[in-house]
Amino acid sequence: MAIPQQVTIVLNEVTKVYQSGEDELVALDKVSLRVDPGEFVAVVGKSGSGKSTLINMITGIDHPTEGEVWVGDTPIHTLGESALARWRSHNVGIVFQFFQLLPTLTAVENVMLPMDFNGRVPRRQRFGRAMSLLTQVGLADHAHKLPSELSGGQQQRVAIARALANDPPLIVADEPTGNLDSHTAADMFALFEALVDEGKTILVVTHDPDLARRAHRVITIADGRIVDDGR
Amino acid sequence: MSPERSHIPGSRFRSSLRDFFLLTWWQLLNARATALLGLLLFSVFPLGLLMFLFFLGRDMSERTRQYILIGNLVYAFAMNGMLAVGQEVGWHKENAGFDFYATLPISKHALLLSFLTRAVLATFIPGILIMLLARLFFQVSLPFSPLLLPLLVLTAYSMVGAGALIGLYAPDTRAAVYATQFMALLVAYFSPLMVPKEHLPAPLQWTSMILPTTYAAEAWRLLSRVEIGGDPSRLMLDFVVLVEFVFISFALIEYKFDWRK
Ligand SMILES: Nc1ncnc2c1ncn2[C@@H]1O[C@H](COP(=O)(O)OP(=O)(O)O)[C@@H](O)[C@H]1O
Ligand SMILES: [Mg+2]
Repeated sequence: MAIPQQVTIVLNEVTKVYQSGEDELVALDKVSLRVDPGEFVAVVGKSGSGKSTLINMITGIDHPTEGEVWVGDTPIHTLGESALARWRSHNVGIVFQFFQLLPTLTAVENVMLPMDFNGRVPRRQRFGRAMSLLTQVGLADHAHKLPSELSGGQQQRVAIARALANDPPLIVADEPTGNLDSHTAADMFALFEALVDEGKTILVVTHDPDLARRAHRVITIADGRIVDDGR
Repeated sequence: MSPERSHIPGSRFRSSLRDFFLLTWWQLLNARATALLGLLLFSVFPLGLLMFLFFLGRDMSERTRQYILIGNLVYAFAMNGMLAVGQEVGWHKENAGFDFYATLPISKHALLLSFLTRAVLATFIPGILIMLLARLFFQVSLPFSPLLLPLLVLTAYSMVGAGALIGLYAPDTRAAVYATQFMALLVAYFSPLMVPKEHLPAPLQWTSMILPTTYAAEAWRLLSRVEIGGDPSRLMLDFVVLVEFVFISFALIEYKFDWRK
């Protein structure tokens, strides 16, 4: 299975309980959800409502206490650490709020790094592919700069190029615009729209209702429950 | 799952090894901006000690100087690695830096060892420099033995588990820095690194037995025939103990180092 096929995301009665000492905190309460291939989904809700927990279930960064998470025919809830990491490397690109670029690698090196560990892109094509991804996010001229020489918006675009490195069908971003001004944040969403047009499935957590409206579907979550599934 | 990374036994080790080399390469690239500063930092303590040898040690016998020099170098190899790993882990934890690494299909061993190897490689340069300076200006020379290389590598790797756990459990980067530095001082002055074991108070003689540096320094001294009346069969024992420390280190990382927390 070298080329991952387009996949449907299905959550079945997913519950996540965090245990801190004596206390139990129900971060997700029997959440069921279906996201079809090629959808552009925004997840909104107050701070602490369970948005991050929800998308961490889908990327496998966190495990459900109960319930099932399927991405295509992969049962994410059953995979162990290293199987998950391998699955993720082929199937999901993750964009973080704080960009998480390696500070002393140049932009193009940051984008090449995931290709080295995945191995699907032949070695000789990695630099070229990284450059074309940077061109796609509008940063070809900045390829050899360090993250510290780039603005926040530019760094996040490098991070998006990096998330695309191994051509995953699914892109997940947890408040990717949380540290950007509104104009730059809108640019970021334009970039996501272009990726959806190319056939990617995108899940974005955001605080901003104006930005969320640009997605095809808005899922609203409160106290660990989906109160509006946007369908 | 994928043709590149199958589950055939043995291939897991091979792919970990490959990840380790890749990560080390990226770590070295990642360090190039601060490489000079790092080298300087790693050289300060051993160079200071060399000065001390020069000014205070005029009346010391060559054997005493060799004794101190070896302790000093063992310190550098064991502690630079531990300090680097502890502080790197602390920094990553505080800045959510593992979030990205956790998305790569790599093992945590490969990642930590790449942090460590960067520090070990950075220690070899000042280490060699110090041996050269010692020979040129202070008339202290150490005989070379081919066993030194595995010895130094074992020395460095024996402390990595401790460094990783300090970094992980420290509440923030600053606490990680303090804790690793405290460990380093303890090792430097309260164990038989630069002071012969017999000269230490009894409780410190006991605690020094759980420090890998004690065995590393003894092994080097035996190799260099600095240990007066040293028993050569101890050399074997020292290596065995160091290998055990490396295993403990790996086990700590395997079972206690939960980098996604
Ligand atoms: N690792 C954790 N341990 C304990 N509680 C957690 C943990 N992660 C999240 N929580 C709690 O779960 C709830 C949902 O958190 P989260 O999904 O991060 O919310 P959001 O992303 O919407 O702000 C919050 O009350 C939060 O405090
Ligand atoms: Mg969140």
